[in-house]
Amino acid sequence: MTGWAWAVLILFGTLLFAAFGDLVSEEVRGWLDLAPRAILRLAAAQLDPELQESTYHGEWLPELVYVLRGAESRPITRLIRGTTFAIGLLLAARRIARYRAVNEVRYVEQQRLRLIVRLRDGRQVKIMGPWLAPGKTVRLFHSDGNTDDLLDLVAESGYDPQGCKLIEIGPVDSSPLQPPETVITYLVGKSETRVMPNPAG
Amino acid sequence: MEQLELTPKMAAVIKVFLEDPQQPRYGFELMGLTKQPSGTLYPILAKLEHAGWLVGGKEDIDPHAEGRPPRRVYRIVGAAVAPASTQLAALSEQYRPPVPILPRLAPNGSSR
Repeated sequence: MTGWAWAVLILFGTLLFAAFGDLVSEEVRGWLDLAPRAILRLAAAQLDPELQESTYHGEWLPELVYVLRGAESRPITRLIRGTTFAIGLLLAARRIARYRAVNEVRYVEQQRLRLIVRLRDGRQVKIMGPWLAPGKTVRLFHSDGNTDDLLDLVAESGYDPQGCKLIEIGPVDSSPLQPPETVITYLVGKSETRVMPNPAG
Repeated sequence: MEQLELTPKMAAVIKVFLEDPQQPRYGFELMGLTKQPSGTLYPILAKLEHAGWLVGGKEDIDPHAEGRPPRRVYRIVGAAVAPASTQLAALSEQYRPPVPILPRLAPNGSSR
């Protein structure tokens, strides 16, 4: 075999080895992420089926994904952080379930509540979440502070309160007529809609 | 809202919420701020939520844009701020070092 042939062979072998090394590294990295998830699934198995949706899918798993992404470039750090996080929940699952069993009923009821405001420009503002509850008053502000604009935007009968008392529209600095703890404030803008919880609410 | 007797570990969690009652907090964030492991922190959050001191919700993100599911957020309810502050003050008083009775035992006391 000539020197050229050897050189080509060695080069090809090196490339193949490097590619294989990357594949193995990627494979191991994938398996490392599966370990904390497997432990977390064991923890979830200790919960009642109805709690698994809100507690495992709604809290533990998103938090684990966040934990693992935070240490994205360091697989060993990810493994340690993720596993520690999951083992803690595995050990505490029954205690958490004891308190959550009652919370779950409230949480599901609150999640069902939804307020849809249809604006004159055709947009729909969907407000939902645990801060929305029967008896609460929702106040809306326009992001540029122009109340008249917002009054013009909200169609007269274009909202579906689903348990909420009424919609108040006012300038940001006006004091609400309702007790503060019963009021939720939303900022309605061209590009964003966000909740502005009240200090006492 | 239920009455709760705060333990020192629960107090550490509540203290973070009281620093900015408007600020939503995440479980993993609280683990870092209170130096408590998940096995301690999450039962405390569940207990505080069960008692009505905290309210849970969902993080306001677009899961597709962020590439991850929304996390659960917790906020302290307005009605819990006053009792929580009172109990924190009581705990602080409970763990305050006693005032030295004898002047000679005081750190800067003169032994005449």
